[in-house]
Amino acid sequence: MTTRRNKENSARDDEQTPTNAGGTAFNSEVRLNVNSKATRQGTDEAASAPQLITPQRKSMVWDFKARGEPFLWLFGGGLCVGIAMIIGFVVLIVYNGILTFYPRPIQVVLLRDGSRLAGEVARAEDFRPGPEVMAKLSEETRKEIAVHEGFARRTLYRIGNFDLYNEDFRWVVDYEISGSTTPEDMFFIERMEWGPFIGTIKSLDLNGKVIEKSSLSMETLDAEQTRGAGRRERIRGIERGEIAAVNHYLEEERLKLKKVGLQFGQKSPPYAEAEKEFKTNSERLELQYRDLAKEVAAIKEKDAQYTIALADVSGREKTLKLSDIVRFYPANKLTFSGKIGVYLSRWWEFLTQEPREANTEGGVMPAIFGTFCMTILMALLVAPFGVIAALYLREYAKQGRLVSLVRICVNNLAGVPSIVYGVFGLGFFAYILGGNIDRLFYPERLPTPTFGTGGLLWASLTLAPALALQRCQSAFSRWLSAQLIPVLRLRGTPGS
Amino acid sequence: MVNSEAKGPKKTRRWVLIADRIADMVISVGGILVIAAVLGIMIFLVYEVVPLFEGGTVQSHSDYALDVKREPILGLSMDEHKTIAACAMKDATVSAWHARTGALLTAPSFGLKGKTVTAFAQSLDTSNMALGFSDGTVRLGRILFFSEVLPAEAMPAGLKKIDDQDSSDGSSIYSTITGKQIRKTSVKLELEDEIQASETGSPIVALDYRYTEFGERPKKRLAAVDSQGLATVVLVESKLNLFTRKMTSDTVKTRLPAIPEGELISHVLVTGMGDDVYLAQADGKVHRYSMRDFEHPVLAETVGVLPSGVELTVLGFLLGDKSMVVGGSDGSVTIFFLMERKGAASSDGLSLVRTREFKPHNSAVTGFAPSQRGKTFATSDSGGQVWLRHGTSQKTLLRLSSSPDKVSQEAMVIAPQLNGLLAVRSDRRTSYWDIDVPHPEISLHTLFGKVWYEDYPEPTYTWQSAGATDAFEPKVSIVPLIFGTLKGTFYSLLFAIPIALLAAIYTSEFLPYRVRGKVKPVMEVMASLPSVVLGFVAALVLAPVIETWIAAVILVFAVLPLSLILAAYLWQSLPSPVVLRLEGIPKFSLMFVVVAGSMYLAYAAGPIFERLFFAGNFKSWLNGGIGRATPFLFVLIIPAMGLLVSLLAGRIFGYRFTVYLRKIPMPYSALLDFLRWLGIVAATAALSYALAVFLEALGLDPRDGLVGTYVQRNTLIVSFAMGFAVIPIIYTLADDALSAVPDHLRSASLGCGATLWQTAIWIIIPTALSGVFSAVMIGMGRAVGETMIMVMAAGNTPLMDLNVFDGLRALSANIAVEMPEAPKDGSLYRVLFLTGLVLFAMTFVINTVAELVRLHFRKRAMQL
Repeated sequence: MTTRRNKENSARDDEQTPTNAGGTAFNSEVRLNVNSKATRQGTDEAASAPQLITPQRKSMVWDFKARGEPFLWLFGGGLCVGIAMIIGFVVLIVYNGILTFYPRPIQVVLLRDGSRLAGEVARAEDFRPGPEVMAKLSEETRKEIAVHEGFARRTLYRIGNFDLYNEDFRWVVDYEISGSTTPEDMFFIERMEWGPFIGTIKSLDLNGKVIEKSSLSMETLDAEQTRGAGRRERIRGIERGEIAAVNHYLEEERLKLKKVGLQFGQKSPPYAEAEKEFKTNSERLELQYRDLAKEVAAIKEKDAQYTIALADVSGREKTLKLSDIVRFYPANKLTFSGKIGVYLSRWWEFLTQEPREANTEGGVMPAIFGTFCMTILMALLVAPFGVIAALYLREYAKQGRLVSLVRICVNNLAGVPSIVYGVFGLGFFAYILGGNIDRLFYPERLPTPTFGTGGLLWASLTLAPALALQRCQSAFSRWLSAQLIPVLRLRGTPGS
Repeated sequence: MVNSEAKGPKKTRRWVLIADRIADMVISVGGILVIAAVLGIMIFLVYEVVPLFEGGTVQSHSDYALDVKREPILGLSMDEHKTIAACAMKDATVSAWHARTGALLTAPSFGLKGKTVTAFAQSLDTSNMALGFSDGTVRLGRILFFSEVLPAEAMPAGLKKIDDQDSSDGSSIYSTITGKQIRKTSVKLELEDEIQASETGSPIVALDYRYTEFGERPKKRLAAVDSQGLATVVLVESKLNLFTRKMTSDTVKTRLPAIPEGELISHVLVTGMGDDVYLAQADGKVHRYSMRDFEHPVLAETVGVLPSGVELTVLGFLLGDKSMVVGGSDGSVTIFFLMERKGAASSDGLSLVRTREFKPHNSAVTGFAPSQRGKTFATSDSGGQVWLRHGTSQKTLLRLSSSPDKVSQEAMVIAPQLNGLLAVRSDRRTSYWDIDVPHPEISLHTLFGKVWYEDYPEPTYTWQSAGATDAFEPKVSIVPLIFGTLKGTFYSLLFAIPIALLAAIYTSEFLPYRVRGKVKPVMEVMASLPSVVLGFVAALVLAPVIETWIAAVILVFAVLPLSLILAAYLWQSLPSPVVLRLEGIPKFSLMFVVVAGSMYLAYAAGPIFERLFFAGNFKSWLNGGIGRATPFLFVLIIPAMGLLVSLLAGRIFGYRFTVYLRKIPMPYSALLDFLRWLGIVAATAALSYALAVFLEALGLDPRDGLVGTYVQRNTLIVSFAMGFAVIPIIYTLADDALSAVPDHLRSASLGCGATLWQTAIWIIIPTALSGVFSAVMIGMGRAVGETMIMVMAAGNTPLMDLNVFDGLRALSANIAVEMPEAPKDGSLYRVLFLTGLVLFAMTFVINTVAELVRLHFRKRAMQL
């Protein structure tokens, strides 16, 4: 094997050497960064040289056609557009993403009709009021609009308090506003349910001990909110952790029994034995469950005694359990460092928490975790496959029909749309492979699928070859060709 | 092992050779595995798709002699589990038996002893039936099958075993089913009060009955014809009183206008909605009555549905009451739709149109049975053959025959789940088939051809896989999806290729080396953006912005190249020392300024452009309400005309002009050159406008085809977003190909006195052309398969128009959207695999061509 390859290599070298000895030398220079600059500059000079030498008259003469300046500018324009696209896109994403969590002041807007609203400014835009709207406006306003060529400005306020207003955002047109203030006692309160509350804090009820607004300090609020959050976490911990675990074991026991039943039949002695065991175990677990449930109920009862009374901008009151508050801040009183604190804490929540309220609030931790796991699992599966494929193509696969075929296949594998892999993964891995695994190893859980449904493993397995070839082919093999192959070649060539 | 060549000055160690060999094997196996992977995927996709095109299979078949009276059988019925079959006979009695074996059960009775049925009709579900009598009365009845699932212990003792699965106690069947349970099936009859359908009391000769139920409010429609040829339509509406749980019924009757004297009605049909009533004569003449006004029915039209001399033997509806199946004594089977037709010779503008013709039977068609699931139906002929076919796909699913001695079937019924068929012959030989027809509605024709669906005015390519009602028929033409993919790809590449290739050429040939090392990675960052982010941003941020500034966006396409060329002419009129000093990075930065400036210009001039060209509102101009076609035609013609005019100018006085320019001192020559360009631009504009006016005079309007109604998520947005995905691929690969051109070629060309531009255009690009082509092909492969951008930004409307401002649905997006809804192994599931296969085939061809071209290019590059 080795010999054949050597022969081929040398044969090729022989072919190349006489025809482009100079070229090879040139190539090797280009590869080395130090020299290339000089070469390139040389080329530039070479290009302009004839133009510099040619003057036959006193003044300079140009051959515009040979310069092709308009075309050069078009080419360059293409590149500029490409770069502008990418930079614009990244800036757009970063700009929109970065500002999302920054706390904004709360404006209290007094409307002409006497009502008020309080909220963060989401955005503002010019619009053209329709004829029906125009007809209802006062003469003055109409004149004002006419001055601006028929446009009026409106602002979108995030008013929160969905439970009171049934809307989160509201448009307010400039001509409806008679004035606006930013009172310091306005709070932005993020809740577990119903989205944010925007309003003032009236009083605090700590298990019967009522603290009025006047004697309420930020420190007390912070401390009580932290305590409330602690209770919330405790309840959640028991419900999602311990009670869930008990339920899981109970289900496990049930499945164990079912498995014995499926294996030996329901009238066999092993089944009777298993049934007995199931009874004792499930009784024990149910006892545990009752204890836990009692504990939760106790905490909940206590928790309900700690409440906060809030009022919106028009005075409508709302009482809230302290433990329902996720985060609160006096939006108009925040210092810069306070704002940064809120900003960072929101980021932290986004990155480390589970989503709430149908994915509209909370964090994306599960998605990050899933992506991470899949990537790791896939990388493990990918690495050998990708390395072998890349090695094969770069080093071993030089000539021959088979090799061209492999190359075509690799490029096809890399070029097949991911959705086709998705279809394949669902049909083959999840349904056929997973379905059979279920039938063989987890008959007691059917018809609920264990492996016979979409999952991390199948996703990774499906993605593996696609990514192995797409990424490793390009990235890895490029690295390989740049770093490794010249070295290998040098070693492989006799006499060098 | 150690051969002559390896014996050098130093012997290779043994373990090195062994390791080498192992590596060799492992790696070669890997290579073969790659081939296997591609083939495996293809084979799996094909394996999932193939069952679509198979007709049906008979799982089991039994023949038995049915031991019932020799009275003519009027109608057959079978329960959902294919356990019990029952038939109504001419003497108004009912027989019931075990469907698989023919073991008789004690017959329930309507209690109509001694009466003779003169006309009979069954609703689609076969359990509701209407019996017409010689005294002009009609009675509505019902065969009810009751099934209940009981635990195995509830099995009564002393049952008579019928077969492995079933046993009977004489009136009910007990079947053992999975999960150690039994199912008890029994049959019961219900009969309603009589309705006087014939005012004169003449015998009823033809009857049709439709039973529809919305909630708990059954609606019964009945059409009866008496021996005098007078037809009556009866509508019985029942309401359930929610408090008393009592049914109250309202019965209304109306008489149809009499048909001409002497005509004999053999068949009658009424639609479930009660809109139309059809009276048919044996000679194939069908009278259609419009019942839109129930009190005043009118004879809308009379048409012949069969050639003369052929007798009408079968007339019935398929599920949904839209497809009317006509069978004749010549064996022909056709389907008619009632639809709006221009110039229809009817009073209501509707007309019966023959839409489908099936392969004819060898002998007269004698029987017809529709399925309750989809548009499948069975027809039998006088030779005893039973053909199961699908109304839309026109696929013949099964050809069954039970009678070598050619006795025709007297009655047949398709099992409610379309998994069985029962046919009784006049000699009481009965055949029972367990059948499996998984995908009756799919054929090559429904997937790739134009299909005339119910309620459509003409055959169309339609994709609509799910609907709201039971009678809905999935429409699965994948042509609009392929069209969508190609449309999206075409427009995306139209946007991406110029930018990518221009950028690649500039990077590889003109950019200073220092800048080049920084620019390339920036462009490659674009390739690493996940397409879901691109699609998301395109749909939610880009789409509204472009919608607002659409005129400016269109203007950019003209302003950008024009201002670049303008800048180039200004640049070349600069004095040479300045040019030489600013060559390189400053020049490139200046290009940036020009690009940014021209974008701002387009933004500022957008409203003016809109006012001037599109009557002030581009979107309403697109809708066709305002403005003229000329301006847009003008815009469309400009690029081609510009090319033509420049070529012509080059041909006519290009060389002489160049020579002349050389003789003139610098600022003047540059000015002259600039003027020449201005002349070309002016000529282009003038000629384009003239042509546009001419074309509009010819009646051409781009709004009918290339552009049209503006939708927010459209092909333009897709092509922008796709640009981010495709540009970096084409750019990188093309740049690699251009850079791979050996430098000695470059040096030689420059050494001969050619400029950089001349070298690029005459030496480098031709040499690297195949590599560049393969780059474009690979970019195209990516565009064809791109999913998330298509899902989010393309609007997903499976339409077939070229309109850039309309949405599309691509193959890939379609899979992503519909796969979660598709039940495993169902028709949709397999059709989606088929679309996957089509996608695979498309990218396979594209990538293979790209690779072959690239191999060719490598070989050529080796020789240089």
